[in-house]
Amino acid sequence: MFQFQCDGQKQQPGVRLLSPLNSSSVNWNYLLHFEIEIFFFFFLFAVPDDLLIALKFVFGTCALQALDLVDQRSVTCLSSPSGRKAFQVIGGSGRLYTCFLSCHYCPCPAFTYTVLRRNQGLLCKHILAVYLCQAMAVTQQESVSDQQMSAVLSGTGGP
Amino acid sequence: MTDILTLVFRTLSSQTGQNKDPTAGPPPPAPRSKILVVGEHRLSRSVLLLAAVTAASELGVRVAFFAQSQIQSLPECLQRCIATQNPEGLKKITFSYPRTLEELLQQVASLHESPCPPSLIIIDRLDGFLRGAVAGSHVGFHSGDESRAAHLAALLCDTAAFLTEVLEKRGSSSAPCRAIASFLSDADSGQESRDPSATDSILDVLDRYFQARCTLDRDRSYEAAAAAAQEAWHVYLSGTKIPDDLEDGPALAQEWKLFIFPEGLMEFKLV
Repeated sequence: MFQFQCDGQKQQPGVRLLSPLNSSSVNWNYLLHFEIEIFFFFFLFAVPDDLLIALKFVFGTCALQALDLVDQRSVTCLSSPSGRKAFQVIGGSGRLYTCFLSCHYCPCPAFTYTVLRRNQGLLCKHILAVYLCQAMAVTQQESVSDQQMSAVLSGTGGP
Repeated sequence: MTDILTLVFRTLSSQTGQNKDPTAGPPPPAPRSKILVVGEHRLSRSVLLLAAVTAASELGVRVAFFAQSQIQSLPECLQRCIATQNPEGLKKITFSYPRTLEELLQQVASLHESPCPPSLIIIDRLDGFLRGAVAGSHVGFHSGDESRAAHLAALLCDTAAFLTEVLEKRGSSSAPCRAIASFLSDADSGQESRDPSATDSILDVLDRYFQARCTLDRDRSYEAAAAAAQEAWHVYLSGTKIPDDLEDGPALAQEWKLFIFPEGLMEFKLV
């Protein structure tokens, strides 16, 4: 999938799962109060098979869809002079979704239906793509003005 | 935010020594910075105003107060408190009256542009903003409201998290940035057409983003009369355990009793 490069440091990749949400009714009880932190320190551009399997096990089909978005470099981190940041993800349909830095939210129908309404997942593919891009350091960067950032965050506009 | 509310309750508690010793018992849970007040509008607005005044005057923090309807008058107990407070502290409260959900989102989203950001963000009547998002809707919530509720709550949380970073970088004692909002669920609004066994989907969404809840529940027993009060309320502070709590410590669970007297005075009592 990508060029493989190793920095030579032996690190044990692992997964800690933390839910920033207060939901107490998630079906998978073992996912509650854990943090998703996927260590790719010495896998700069490749994801080992065992981590792919773990991602698929935890997130289901959402994981493969998120990895597709990562492949397509679909995640951009917007930052403004005030220091405020937000993520924008280009979805499969070409639509732009704005996700927040500190908590799970996405305006996509899957997040509304699967996460909010059915409580059958912690996140959608767009939010997972944000996590993966951050971990793999493949997030695009873009600067916007403070006013543009306000419009993006409020959902009334965007770059 | 639970620390500010607890300060409000203690400030207005009886001086007769009937309260429990606050230093007795297990160590209290860590304060939560985001709390949702659920209950009747008139009382929840009073609680929010008390929180705003307490934060501004006692703690000296800047407060951004958002409401759909203008505040015509302050609760009686608050008027008496203000008379004894430092008036300069009250200038730290900024009132804004967005008319729609979109205006509210824009105003909260633009808080990061302010050179003097608030340390406390208050939103009165989330339900009013969310119901008004559907044109002509005055009864109940509609499809798509979960997403709008999540957007507003997530924006509030993200804004509070960002402003906390800003305040901490400046070395301000006002950190962290706290948030409190009020909400009246369909069940508490007394809609007869609603299935009483159904959960409130909007409240479920909001619970994902707010760390604690302050529930206001009217006490219809004779306790109010026994206390020569006009009204008696149960006030429950509750929340799940968070990483900041002690490992062996309790989750947030406090109960207060609120008496409202005919002249408008409010008195809290720790149960």
